[in-house]
Amino acid sequence: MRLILLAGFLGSGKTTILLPMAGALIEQSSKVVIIENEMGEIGIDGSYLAREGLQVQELFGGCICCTLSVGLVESIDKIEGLYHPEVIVVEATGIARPGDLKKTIFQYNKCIEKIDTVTVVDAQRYEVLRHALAPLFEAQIDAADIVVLNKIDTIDGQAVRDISTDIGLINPDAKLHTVSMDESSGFEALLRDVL
Amino acid sequence: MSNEGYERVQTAMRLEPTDRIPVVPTLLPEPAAGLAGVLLGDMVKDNTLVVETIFKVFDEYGGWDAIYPGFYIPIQLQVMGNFPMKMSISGQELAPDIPFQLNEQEILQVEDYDRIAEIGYDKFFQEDYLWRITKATPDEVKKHMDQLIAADGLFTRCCANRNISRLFTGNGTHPFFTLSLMRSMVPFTQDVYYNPEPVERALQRMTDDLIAAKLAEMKHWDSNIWLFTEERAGGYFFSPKMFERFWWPYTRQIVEAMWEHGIVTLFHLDTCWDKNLAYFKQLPRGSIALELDGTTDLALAKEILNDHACLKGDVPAALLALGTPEEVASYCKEKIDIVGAGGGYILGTGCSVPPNVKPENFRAMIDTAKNYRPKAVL
Repeated sequence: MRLILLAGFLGSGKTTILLPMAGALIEQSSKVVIIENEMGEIGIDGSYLAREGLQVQELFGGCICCTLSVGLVESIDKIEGLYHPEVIVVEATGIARPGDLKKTIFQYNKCIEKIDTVTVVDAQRYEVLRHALAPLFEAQIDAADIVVLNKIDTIDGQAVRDISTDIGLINPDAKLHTVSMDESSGFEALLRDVL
Repeated sequence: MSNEGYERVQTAMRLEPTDRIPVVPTLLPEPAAGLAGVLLGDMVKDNTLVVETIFKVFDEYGGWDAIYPGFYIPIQLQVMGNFPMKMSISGQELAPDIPFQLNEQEILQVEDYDRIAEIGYDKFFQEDYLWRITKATPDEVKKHMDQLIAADGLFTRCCANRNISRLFTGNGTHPFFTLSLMRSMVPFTQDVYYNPEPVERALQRMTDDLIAAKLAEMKHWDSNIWLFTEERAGGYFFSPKMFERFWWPYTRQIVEAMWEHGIVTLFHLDTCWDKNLAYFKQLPRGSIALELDGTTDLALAKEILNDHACLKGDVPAALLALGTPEEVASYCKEKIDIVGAGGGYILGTGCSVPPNVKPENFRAMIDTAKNYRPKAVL
């Protein structure tokens, strides 16, 4: 089974990307399940996705920091048993390090053969996140197979190039997509890579 | 307070060798419910049931060296400010078997920083902020707190009947962590980055208030350990510059003020603190202990803080919930061998025992501490 891990800091636009991505996946594959875990109000509306025909599993964490990965492992096992999906999409909480989650999933979820990590980066708040939260920010980019620089409509072209260079220094192996979901730019190319 | 288990804990806190490594799991109401087969939806209304359930587990697993005094119902954590956020409760907004959930929102506003600095955190919280997050009425809040006080008496009697002690008496949350929860993480990070002065004024006032409150509180107890929680300031999230400016100076003030009165600060530090460990060497020897959650490298902590700070931890939640008893025992033995060498170590869980812990894994952890005797600690 394939797992797509959608990572990125709080408010980076993961949910905005998840919705059309999930739609495209369901067109391609009849068995897609979404696991959603986000802090506070930012989280996706599970009932909305359900109406769109997607199976959604909400992930609870009594104490996010220590029990999140346990809940995720158990959710994956439960989903595998109930639905036998071809693809699981996990929208990780914005404070998660995808590398840590991948390690735990591969250790305990034997049904997962492949994990693709897509990290969404907020172009608008790049400066503050890059400097104030550097360790988490770098870890999220470092673990990515694909980095999505989102909200590029909020900064100028030179800033997009500077940030792209910086991301390339953190993770030279990741494929970078520059996207504006608000202006419907760059998403189709991203989708082709993800699918 | 004197009994064999607590003496063992105190010896470890003093960084001296013990006859065996003490063990103290962070058994909160949620995992206690799981281990005792009690429904969380029933636990969240009844402190008496919480206390009885915790001690039922304590008895069934043969006991351990000191007990974690976490016998709350969720709304009390909100009212006391441990979690100054909106929450969803088992059996109310959630299914009765789902642990309570925190709902982090931008409740605190920028102008509140100066209000805290001006009138003090407690007044701000009790008179204003609490009513932004809770659904409870003032009468209900009073009832919940009266219930907690009654449960405290029951907890004390249960300890006395078993001749055991609480691991700590006072507890508090770091001002940095508190503000981050109240404001929510993104706006708070933007505040400290773009407009730090009001945040610093609030942090200093909260630090002063916390010191005064905890010193007064600790006078009522025959104990010298208090718990101090921080889950965000470490190198997992924040850059060293942020840590040095917004966390470390206040931490130092608090620890040193408590230590002047002989009070040991037991830090509960979630997430990875590898990059911050060396800072703790600046604090007086024996004034602190670090409770780590399995993401900080405990062996590295031992290397850096050996003979300076007691360490506690760190059997990971994932191992307790998903591993086997053999794996748990092996993990514990390794920690006892490496971190326990020479003393200054308490075996514990990495953060809380997970709500879905396997009973056989929990038992493996407790029994390993009681029965395993490496040469290093003999």
